[in-house]
Amino acid sequence: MSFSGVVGQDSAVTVLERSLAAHRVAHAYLFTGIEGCGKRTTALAFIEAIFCGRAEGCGSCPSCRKMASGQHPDLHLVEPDGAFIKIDQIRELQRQLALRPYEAPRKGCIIEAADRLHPAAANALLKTLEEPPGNAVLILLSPNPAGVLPTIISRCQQLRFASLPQETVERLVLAGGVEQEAARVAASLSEGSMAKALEIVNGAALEERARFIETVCSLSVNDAGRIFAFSEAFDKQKDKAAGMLDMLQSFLRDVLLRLGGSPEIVNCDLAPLVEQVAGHNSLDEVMGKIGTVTTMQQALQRNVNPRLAMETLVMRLANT
Amino acid sequence: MQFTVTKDIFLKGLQRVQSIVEKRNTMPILSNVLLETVDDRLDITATDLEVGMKSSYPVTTVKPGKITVSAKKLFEIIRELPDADITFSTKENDWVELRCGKAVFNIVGLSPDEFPYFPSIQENNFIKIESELLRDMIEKTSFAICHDETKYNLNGVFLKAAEAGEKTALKMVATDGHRLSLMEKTLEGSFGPELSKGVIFPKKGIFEIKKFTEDEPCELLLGFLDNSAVIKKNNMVVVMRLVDGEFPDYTRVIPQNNDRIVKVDREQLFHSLRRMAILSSEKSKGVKLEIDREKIIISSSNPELGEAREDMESDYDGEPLQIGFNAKYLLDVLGVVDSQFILLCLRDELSPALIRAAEKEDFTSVIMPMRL
Repeated sequence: MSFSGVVGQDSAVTVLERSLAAHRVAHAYLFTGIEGCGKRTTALAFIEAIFCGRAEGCGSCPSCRKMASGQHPDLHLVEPDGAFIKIDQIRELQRQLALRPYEAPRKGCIIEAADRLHPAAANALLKTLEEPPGNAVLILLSPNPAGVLPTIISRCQQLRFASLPQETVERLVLAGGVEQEAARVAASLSEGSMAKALEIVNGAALEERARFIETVCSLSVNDAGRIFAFSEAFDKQKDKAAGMLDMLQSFLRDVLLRLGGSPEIVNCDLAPLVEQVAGHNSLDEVMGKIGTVTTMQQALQRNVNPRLAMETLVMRLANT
Repeated sequence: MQFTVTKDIFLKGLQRVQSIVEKRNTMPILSNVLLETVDDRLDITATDLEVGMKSSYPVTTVKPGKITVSAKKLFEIIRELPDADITFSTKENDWVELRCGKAVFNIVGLSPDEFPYFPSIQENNFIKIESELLRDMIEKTSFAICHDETKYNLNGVFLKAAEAGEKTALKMVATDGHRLSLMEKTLEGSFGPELSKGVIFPKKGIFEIKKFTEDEPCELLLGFLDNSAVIKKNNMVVVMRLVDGEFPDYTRVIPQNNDRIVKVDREQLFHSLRRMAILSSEKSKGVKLEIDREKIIISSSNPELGEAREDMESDYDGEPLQIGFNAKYLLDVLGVVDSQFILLCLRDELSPALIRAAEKEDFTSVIMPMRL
């Protein structure tokens, strides 16, 4: 993968390309930006270029071919093992980095999800990060820089990756052979993350979401039986609860936009429903509902009984 | 690719590389050996990216080529085959066919292109070293190698050559922060830029070299390529990646004015220390040496077990002195020195002690004392 394969991260790529051209590659980088915006692809492209010795990996020399198949002996990848990156993984990395490079001019290392470094592992890494043995390049990736120890951040050159523009995600999803309509919805729901867009397109998430929102909108206080049945069903899939609430919130936001007269709605496949709900509710009512969903989102993070919470939520949202 | 080889030769070649082949399964290709035929020669290559080995054996080549196959499985198959010629040939999609007598094996291989790069060896700037000399140097230093993997620059032995006119002093040093051992040999000829700067050989590689030197004495060739050191013996080559990093300036650690010199019988001290160490604490192995004129009292005590003491004769005429040591560190040194008497050069109870052989000048060891 070369720099030309990185989409929509021009400013980050330019910084890296310039550092290569000036032979001033830093010893440690921290790439931050939401999940699926191209951090990993860029890191691989950067290391490939360093190994290849050109401004951009040529893709055809033995070194680039090994990078493409993920077999390069001088590239070390560290990923969380379970919930954390453990100290043993860091020790093993340090052992590998202590030796001189096998065939490349310098060694490369990518640490994924640096916010999931166990504190002990992160502290073990500090010295290596500050002065890597020989001239290794360490790249840390993290979607959540607030979760990375400040002592780690201060030792790295930080590079921010922007969320991808909606059109870019849409174009990329389309290129993957997805229908126009689905691609548009996925792109608008992806919040600029390619990974999330693909997840939406590939899974049954899109239909499930439509069904969920339609059901919530159709519930009525006069029909308490359905409310309870719905909440019970919800209780069985609590791991999806947060995602569903996000979608509900985005839907209600569209209703609000519709009421304000803006055509820029995200859930374009549900446009008739947005229209319908907007017709039934006033601005204040919709604001109230959004508030209810937010309360529920916070409550879910604090270990409430999901079924009771859902019952309360649905009753508040239900049409009178 | 197709060749015919006798069982004995193939088995010997595969056995040699088994210790090198990767046990942990990080890259699948590393659990394979690369077999390559050129003219009537079979090259067997294995590597774990840290240490690699290539050896050549005579075969009858029908068609040249190369392939990689699982080192362990191939070894197991060859071991069980009858004593007859083996025909080895490659087929489409990296499959391998083995025929021996009436047995036929079809095994899955991997593309040789994926096998890590193995440096090609040119012999022009190699240094010649007698295997016995190298073994002596490794034996007398390797026990002090640091086993704490976070101190990566101490996880190996440091080799450095200092030229002095026609002769060159070759030094080998290992330390773990508590003790240090240094061997120095004077050799003929020049040793090239890498050794003048000094290089650190990794622990695993040093033990592979030591295996090389344990057979009958011969001449070894030592050279450097890119980031690796190369050791060549007859038809075998071992390549190891050097440790990246600075070896600490060990010369500052070696005490210069330790003027209280005690001369003791090595064997006697060795056995006495082993006896006394039994009652020292399990962890620190501390023993006390009370040095007086003409004699040393060695003692140890452990509140849970009891105490022990023993005195032995020595050659010393200075002020009396008491000093504590980790018995293991002393025993390691006494175990490798091959002279009858050793010199224990001390300064005071908290300064590092220097140990040398009484008859030879080439070996130096420094041990930090303990507070007891």
